[in-house]
Amino acid sequence: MSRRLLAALCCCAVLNFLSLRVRPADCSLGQGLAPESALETSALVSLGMRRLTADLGLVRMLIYYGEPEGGPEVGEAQLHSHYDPEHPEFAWGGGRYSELGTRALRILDADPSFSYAALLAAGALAFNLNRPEDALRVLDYALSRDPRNLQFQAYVAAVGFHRHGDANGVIRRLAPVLGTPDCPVMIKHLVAHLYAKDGQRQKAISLYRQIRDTSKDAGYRRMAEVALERLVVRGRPR
Amino acid sequence: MRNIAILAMTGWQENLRRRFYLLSLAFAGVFLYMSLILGVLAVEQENRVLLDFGLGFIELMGLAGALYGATTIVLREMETKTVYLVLTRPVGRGEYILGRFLGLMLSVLASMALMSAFHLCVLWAKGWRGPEPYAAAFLGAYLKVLIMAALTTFLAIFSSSALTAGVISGVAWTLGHFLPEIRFLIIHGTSRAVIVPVFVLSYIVPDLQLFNLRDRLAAISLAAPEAGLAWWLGYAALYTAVWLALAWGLLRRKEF
Repeated sequence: MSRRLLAALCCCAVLNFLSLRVRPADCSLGQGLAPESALETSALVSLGMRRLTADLGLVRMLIYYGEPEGGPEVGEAQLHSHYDPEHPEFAWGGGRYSELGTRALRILDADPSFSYAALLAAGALAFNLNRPEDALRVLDYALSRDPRNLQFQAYVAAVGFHRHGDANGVIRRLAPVLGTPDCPVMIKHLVAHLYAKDGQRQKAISLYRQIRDTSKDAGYRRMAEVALERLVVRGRPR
Repeated sequence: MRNIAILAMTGWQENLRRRFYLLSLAFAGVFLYMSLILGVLAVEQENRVLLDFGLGFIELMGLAGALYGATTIVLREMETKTVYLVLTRPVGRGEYILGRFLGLMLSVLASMALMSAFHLCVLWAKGWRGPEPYAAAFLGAYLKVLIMAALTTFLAIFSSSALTAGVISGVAWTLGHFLPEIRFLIIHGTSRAVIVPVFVLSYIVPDLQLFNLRDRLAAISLAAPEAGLAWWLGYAALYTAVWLALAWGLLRRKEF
């Protein structure tokens, strides 16, 4: 029996050796674990649910970015009530959201193909929180894991134009990726605002309508309605 | 071959009588409830979260059913002496193990397929239309469960304890999913004393991450080349055959 067991173990070893040759090792978790979700992440990864780990990371990131940094005492209505397109960061509580980039990198660790999380974090960092360097760090990491992703490349270019204050450059780079399924509504809203600011009223209205009709985010739907009222009813961009 | 088919069908019918499919109903209830919560939390990524959560849950439910079956079926028949009724007839012990195993895996497959049908209904109702290859993810999950069931069958006969077999299988399941991290540790670790046992283990435990197509649904076009269907099936078939053959060897040595 011991000889059979040894033969069986040798068979397993050969199979695993071949599996290593056929399929290169997956990307391991390189960013370390977040203290608040270390146990949850370890448990899910050990159960073989890396994608679900990334999903829960996204939910946590959305909650983190959706709350004011000062604490949860400021209500949602108060947060969104004074939306100013010139300073969108104030509508989301302002602040630095210093963990936003790191959280996005952890999500990419768990699922390198989860472009939505990287695009959302990079867009928020670059265009809402005015931290293009941090946004580029997220995009660089995302590109190192998924080098052929054209959306990441477009975002890198758009962030570059944004740093130089070239709104048209940002529009040119982001417009082609607006139709992709992973494009966050935040980016659509930003481009719609830039269209309106640039005098491209019809394009702005069309994009705001798309946000109003298709977005699952009630906050952005409401902001699109306000913008549409301003553009269509009053007929003037702000 | 006829004996194996009869034993497999008997195993299937026994599982039906034992309400094996209550697992599927439990899945449906939990999933419906969770889908309502997750939809609110994930906002724009609701469908992705529903897809991942559902596939993961189906796999865990399938695993629970397979481990329970693999740890109890043969042991219970030995304890209750029911095994005499089978083995006193012209049925080989290899046929007995294979028939019982196939009956169990048929039940698990039907249960997972039921859950998947419900899962797909919910996804369609929420507007999901792909493009993720659902069938590939389902196949990967089933192959993982198949491998674990074979390993657990061997462990149950080897240890004569359902609890021991279940615990060791749970550890193997965990290690099988940590293989990328274990291999990372082997390459970058410093202490040889720590690395040697881990190195040995990395070649014994099944490479379950290989079958985790669910986690690579959108990443199949990434830079890393993806192994083909033939390789997955071959690996699963060989690994399963190895542990079932060992279980057969053990059963041959047992005296009833």
